[in-house]
Amino acid sequence: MLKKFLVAPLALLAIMTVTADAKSPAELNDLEIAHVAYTADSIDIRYAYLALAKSKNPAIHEFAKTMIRDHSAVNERALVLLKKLKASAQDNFLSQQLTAGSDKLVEEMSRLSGAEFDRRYAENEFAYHKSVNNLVEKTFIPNIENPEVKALFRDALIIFKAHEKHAEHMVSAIGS
Amino acid sequence: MFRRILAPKLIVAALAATIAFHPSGPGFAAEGNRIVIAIQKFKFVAPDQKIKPGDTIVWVNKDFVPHTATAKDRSWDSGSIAPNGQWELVVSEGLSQAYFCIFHPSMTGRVDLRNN
Repeated sequence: MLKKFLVAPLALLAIMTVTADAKSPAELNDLEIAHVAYTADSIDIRYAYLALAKSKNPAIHEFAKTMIRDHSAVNERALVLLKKLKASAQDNFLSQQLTAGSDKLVEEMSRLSGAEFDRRYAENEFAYHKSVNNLVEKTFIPNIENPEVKALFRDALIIFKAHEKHAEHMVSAIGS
Repeated sequence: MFRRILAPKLIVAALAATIAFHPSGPGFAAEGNRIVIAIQKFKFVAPDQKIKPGDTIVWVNKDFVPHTATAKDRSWDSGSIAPNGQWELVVSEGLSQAYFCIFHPSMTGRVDLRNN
């Protein structure tokens, strides 16, 4: 339990700490929320490429390829929608915190290898999806005003929840 | 060069043979039913219909990410079914019934074979 707490992903810590800040995820507008989601997708794609480069575990490779495939598809769909709405995603404090947290984590994971890397990657994927899914479900979806953006987030949440289950299973399979 | 000239002729011959002997062509009655299983919102949505050998199952991917329909024992596998794509399987005796999506293992399904 203590170990799980200690390995909480930096991106998750970023999400948790912003609530104490003057700014809150609940105050973001639709275009800022879109930017956070696009950033979160891109971060997970980055982790996946790192996993493909570092891991030799077939289960990790299968999962990482799915992350690249699915998160790229979601981002592609988001860009098509933004184009249709003649809008651009807006950078914001949360996107910046997520990116900064992921930079540190990539640096940390780059120093690991073998089973140690596999375990860190799997545990982070589980915790990352869990925290982002919670944010999307409890904060973003209720606050999004545009119905098409809201529908996209609802569809994406179904995908990300499947990823969360997959990651949870991966953590169990790898063991501690 | 020779290969380029020969290739189209081979394709035409193969097509002609396929048309001539395809069992669904004129004069042949269709064997079995076509059962469509939608892949939608990360679920295999099957009609409430028993399936028997000779039927054809068609998986249609209505999500915007690829999926697979793969037997748990790997005895049959669709490979990647693209968004809006589909894959067919003719049901044989003893077909392995439990299946899942390799990309998203929490997605599971079962071919509900009729007991004769």
